[in-house]
Amino acid sequence: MSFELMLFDNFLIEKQAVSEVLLCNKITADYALVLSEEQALELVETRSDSLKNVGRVEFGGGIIEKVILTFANSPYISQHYYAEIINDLVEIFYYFKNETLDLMSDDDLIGTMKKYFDGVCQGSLDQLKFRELERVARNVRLGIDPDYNDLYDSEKLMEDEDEDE
Amino acid sequence: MNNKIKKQTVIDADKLSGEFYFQSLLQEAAIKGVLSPKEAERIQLECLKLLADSTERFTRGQSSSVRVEIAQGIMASNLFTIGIYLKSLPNLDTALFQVENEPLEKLYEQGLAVLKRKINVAHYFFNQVCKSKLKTANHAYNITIDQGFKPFFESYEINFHAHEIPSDIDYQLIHPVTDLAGVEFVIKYLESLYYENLFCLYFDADIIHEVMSGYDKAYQNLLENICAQIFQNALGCQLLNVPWHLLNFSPADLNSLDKKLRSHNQLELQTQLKRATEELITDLALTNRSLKKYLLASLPKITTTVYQGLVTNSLNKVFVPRFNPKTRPLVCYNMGLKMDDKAYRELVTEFLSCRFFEDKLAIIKEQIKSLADMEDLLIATELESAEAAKIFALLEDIELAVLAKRHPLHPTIDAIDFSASEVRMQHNLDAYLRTLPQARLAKILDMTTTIEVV
Repeated sequence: MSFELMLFDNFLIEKQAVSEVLLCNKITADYALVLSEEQALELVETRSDSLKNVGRVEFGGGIIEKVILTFANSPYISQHYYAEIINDLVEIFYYFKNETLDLMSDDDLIGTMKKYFDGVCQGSLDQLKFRELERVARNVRLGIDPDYNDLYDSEKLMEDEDEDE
Repeated sequence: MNNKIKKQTVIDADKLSGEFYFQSLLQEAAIKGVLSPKEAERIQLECLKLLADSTERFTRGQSSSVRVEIAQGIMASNLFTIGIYLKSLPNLDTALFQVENEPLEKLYEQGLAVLKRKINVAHYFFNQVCKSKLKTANHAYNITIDQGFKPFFESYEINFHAHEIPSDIDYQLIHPVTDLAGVEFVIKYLESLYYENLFCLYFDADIIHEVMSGYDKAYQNLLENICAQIFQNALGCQLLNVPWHLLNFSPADLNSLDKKLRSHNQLELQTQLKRATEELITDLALTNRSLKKYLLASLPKITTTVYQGLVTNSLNKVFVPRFNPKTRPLVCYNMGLKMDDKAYRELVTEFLSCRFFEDKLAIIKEQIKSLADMEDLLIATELESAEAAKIFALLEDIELAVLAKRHPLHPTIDAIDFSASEVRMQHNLDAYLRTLPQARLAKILDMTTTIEVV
């Protein structure tokens, strides 16, 4: 009998997760965004793969529903790229949970993602991931305001920290 | 008749791990068929549910996921807590009954209650250890008691890290604590340390210091157990029928111990030591049963040490004669007065201008009147090793011992602490000493320990 940690990605659990994702369609339909069962299954698989890739485990309902419901009213998401964007957002979310050293709660991180996605990134996932969230994660690690955006000051702070070390 | 009737259980208690008790119990139960696959699956699922609940508490509901290593730590802590409760039950059957019939969450809650009680026990033993603390210069002993357990009592966390031991324990016990974790480890360590303290308290602190100094002058910095050495010496005294509280051995004592013990094999030796221990316990009027058991349990280890001491003719390292580091050296050597600076400069100039070595020797014999001047000359003139050896040959053993004491060869620090001329002289002296017969060299080196240069 093994007591090692494992993700219960068996059929029943996946099916339950898929049905929970599909339930979100009732709300997102108001924004003309709907996921098919196949896309929902793909999302659940993305979650499992992302968790595995970043070395995390998740219990309970998961983050997919929260991401869907938060981003549903974004002006930069249309039905055409909806599933693809949610998949990427889920991946980005788990990656930055690690990068922020778990110092940001789920809701704070998703809220920050939404703010920048709809704001300066104007719907660009690359800008969100490689520019804004990288900066946010660095700020969090340095213990300063996550939204702080003065590159010069940040670098100076990092240099000071390096010297201290 | 001391045999107790033991209830027969399918699971062998000896096969269970002390550190991973719950896991090993489930494993054994599954192997022996006590636990059906369905029950095993139910327990696994309950473990995951418990982990999910604990993780939620850990993240305070702010994060639905955690890093794998954190989840593994929480899981290990949960299983450890359940194991603590199961261990506290009267027997294995009761433990298995609980596992089969109670939800794991309930067992976990019970485990937390047991953990809280055990922390109080750890506090009790820590206080006892502090009260009975020895007056010793051993750094590891002092720092372990004074500071080693602070992190444990300040930051031991039973909800998510119950299996961890946040402490800095350096001091080694006679019986190292193994196969235990968390608060159980700390209790066992402190309990053992308390028994060792109790035993050592029967002896004078100054005598203990002298015994340990006899073992090694720098015992302050060693990770050696004090109680083991004191117990060994006490046993040696008991075997010789000399007062045990002195803990001392003369060379004659060691000889008679050697004669007395040499003929025995290891088993007979253990019997002898056991008899001596029982006599010692009677003489000390030891009433603490746990301490008696603790001492008797260390006999196999001590028997091996004594046996090895006999085999390697190093019984003086087992039954250590006392040594007082404050004792004044037996011999005080006066280096003599140095000659006038001007005269010395002229002497060195003349010495260096000599063409033949015989002339140099003649100068030394005629004009050098003290070892202080000789030492200066040997350093200043930077002689070849062959020439230096001829000059060293003029010196008495005690003079060589003085020079060896003042100029020990330490290649690693020489470059920093000594001038090139001094290093050269040290090398020459070392090379000369190595050419001497073993007996003479030993005599000279022995002198260096008892001599004080003034």
